[in-house]
Amino acid sequence: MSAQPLLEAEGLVKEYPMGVRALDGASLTVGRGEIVGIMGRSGSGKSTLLHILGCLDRPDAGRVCIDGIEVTRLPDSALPAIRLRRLGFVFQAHNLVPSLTALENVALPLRYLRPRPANPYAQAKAMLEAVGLGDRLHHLPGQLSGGQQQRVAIARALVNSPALVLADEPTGALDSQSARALLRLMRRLCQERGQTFVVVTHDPVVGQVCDRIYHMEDGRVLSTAAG
Amino acid sequence: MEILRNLYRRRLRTGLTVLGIAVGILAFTVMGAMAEKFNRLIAGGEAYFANRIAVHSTGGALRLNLLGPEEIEVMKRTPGVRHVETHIMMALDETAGFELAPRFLVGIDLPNFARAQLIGDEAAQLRLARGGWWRPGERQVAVLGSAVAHKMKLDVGDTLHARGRDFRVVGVLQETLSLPDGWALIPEEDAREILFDGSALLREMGLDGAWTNAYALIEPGLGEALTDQLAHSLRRGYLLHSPEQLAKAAGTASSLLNTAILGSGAIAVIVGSLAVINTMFFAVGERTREIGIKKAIGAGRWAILREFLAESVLIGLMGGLLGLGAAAGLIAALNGYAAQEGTPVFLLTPRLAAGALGFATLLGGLAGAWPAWRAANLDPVEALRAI
Repeated sequence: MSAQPLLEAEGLVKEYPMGVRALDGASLTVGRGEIVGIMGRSGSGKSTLLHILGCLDRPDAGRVCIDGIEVTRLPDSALPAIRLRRLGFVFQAHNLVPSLTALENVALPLRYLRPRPANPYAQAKAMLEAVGLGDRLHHLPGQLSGGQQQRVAIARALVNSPALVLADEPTGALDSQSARALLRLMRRLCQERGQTFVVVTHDPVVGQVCDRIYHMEDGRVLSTAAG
Repeated sequence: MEILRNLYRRRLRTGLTVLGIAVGILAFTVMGAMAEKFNRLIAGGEAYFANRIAVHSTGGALRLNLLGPEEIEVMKRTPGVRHVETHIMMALDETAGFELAPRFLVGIDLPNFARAQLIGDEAAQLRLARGGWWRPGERQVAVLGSAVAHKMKLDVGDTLHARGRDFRVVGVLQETLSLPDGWALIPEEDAREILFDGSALLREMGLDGAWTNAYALIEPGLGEALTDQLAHSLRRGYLLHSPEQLAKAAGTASSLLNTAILGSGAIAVIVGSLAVINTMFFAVGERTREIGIKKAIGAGRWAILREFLAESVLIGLMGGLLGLGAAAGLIAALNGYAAQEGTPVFLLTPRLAAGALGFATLLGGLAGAWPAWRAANLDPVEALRAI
C-alpha cells in the first residue's frame, strides 16, 4: 500500500426517509493496487457505501476523496466525468446493455469520452481479449453465460483505465466455478495492471482473494482484517 | 445501430407507433396535395387576372345584355386600359352537369387574342404543347386546353364534338394548372353562331359583334380605380371584377384550404405524438436499469437524452417515410381516376413531401422529448435498483 491512499472516506452519514440511517459515520481507506473487500449482512450499509464511493449518491455528512479529488464537494454536473474517467463499475447481474454486443458494451464508456478516442473498438477488443473473450466479440449478452457476462462487465469497467473499480456482489449470480474463475481474473488484473478493486460482498470465497476486508454493521465500518 | 436494435427489440410496439404516425402523415399529405393543387389553381387564376378587369354579361334568358361593340369601345377609350380581350364563353357540354373542372367553349378573335397574349403578363401566356393555331378565316377548328384534351381523349387531327357541331383539333395547349386547361378555343364566328342558335331574338337581331366576356388589360396598380370608372361608364347589367377583388377572393379560398391542412396536421400531431410519447415512456420504463448502468459508467444527462431523442426522431422519420410512400401511392391512384374526369385533383410537390417528412421527424422529436428528459434525469441509484 503506497503512502498516498487512492480512496479516503471519512465520517460518512446517509439517512433515508422514515429515519433509516444506512451509514452512520463510516470511514475507510484504500491504497493503490489493493483488492479491498467490504463484507456485512444485508442492510448493513454496504451498497449505500459503494454508491457514495462511486459518486452515484451523496452522503448527508462526511467526505470522500478519490485520487486526491474531494468528490463530495463537486457539483452534480461534474460527477459523470469523475465516474467516466476515474471509476469503473461491476454489478451483480443484468449488468450489460442487452441491445449491444460484448464489443459494443465494452466500448460504451469510450463513446462517452470527449474527445473520443481514435479507435474505441480496437481498445475494447484488446480488453475483451485480456479477459479471455476474444472469440465472443460480437455476441449479445443473451448469448453469453453468466460468468462470461461478468467478464465482459470487468472488461468494460477497465477499458478507460480507471483508478478504482467498484464491484457490487460481482459473483452473486454465478455458480461457484464461474465465481472462482472471475476472482482469479480480478486478482490477475490487479497484479498485471496495478488495478485497485473495492468489492462489496457477503460471499466468504470473495474474501479469500482480498488484500484487506472491512466488516460493516448498522452503517458503521467495524474492523479491517487481512484477506 | 444500437437505436435500430432497440427498436427491433420492441418491434410490435414500434411498428404500431410508426403506423400511427404514418396514418397521420398520410392524411396530412393527401390533404396537403389537394390544397397544393387548388392553391396552384388559385395562384394561376390570380396571375392570369393580375392586371385584368373582368367584365361578364349577367346572362338572362334573352341574352340582351351581351357586351357589344359600344361597350368594348368605351372600355378601350378609358385611360389606363391597354387592350380589351373579348371572349364568347359557354359550357362545352350543357348536359354534363357538375364538373370538378368545368369545360368551356371559348370563342376568340385570333388577332385580338394574340395581342392580349403579347402584352399580357408572362403568367397568362398560353403555349402550345402540340400542333398550331388556326389560320385567319379558318372555321370549325379548335385548340384544346390540356384538361379538355385529356378528358375527351382528343389530340391534333381528331374531331371535337361540342354543342352539336364538329371542330377539327389543330392544337393542344400546355398544362397551365389554371382556367385555360378547361377551355376549348374556337373561332369567334363559330362561337357566336352557337350562342345565337339558343336565342331566336338574337338571331333575328343579326348582331355582328357580341361577346359574353371582356377583359380590360390595364396598367399595373389601377385596378380598383379603373373598375369603378368602368362600372360608371358601362350601362348596367354587367359584373365587373377588379384584380384586387379576385385576389381577395382567391386569398379567402386559399386561407380556407390552408386551415383545412392545418386541421389535418393538428390531428396528425395529436394521434402521432400520443403514440410516440406512449412508446417512449414504455421504453424508458423497460430500460431503467440500462439507463442506471449507463449513468454509472459515466454517461451524462445529455448523452442519455440524445439516445432516447434519436430513437423517437427515428420513429418519426420511419412513420413519415411510410406515410409519405402510402400517400404517394394513394395520390397516384386517385389522380389516375380523376384524370379520367380531366383534371388530377392532387399535386404532391417536393415542398409538400419535404414538409411532411420534416413534420413527422419533428413530431417524433417533440413527442420523445418528455420521456427522454425523464430518462436523462433518472436518479442513477434508483435506476440501478430496477430489475
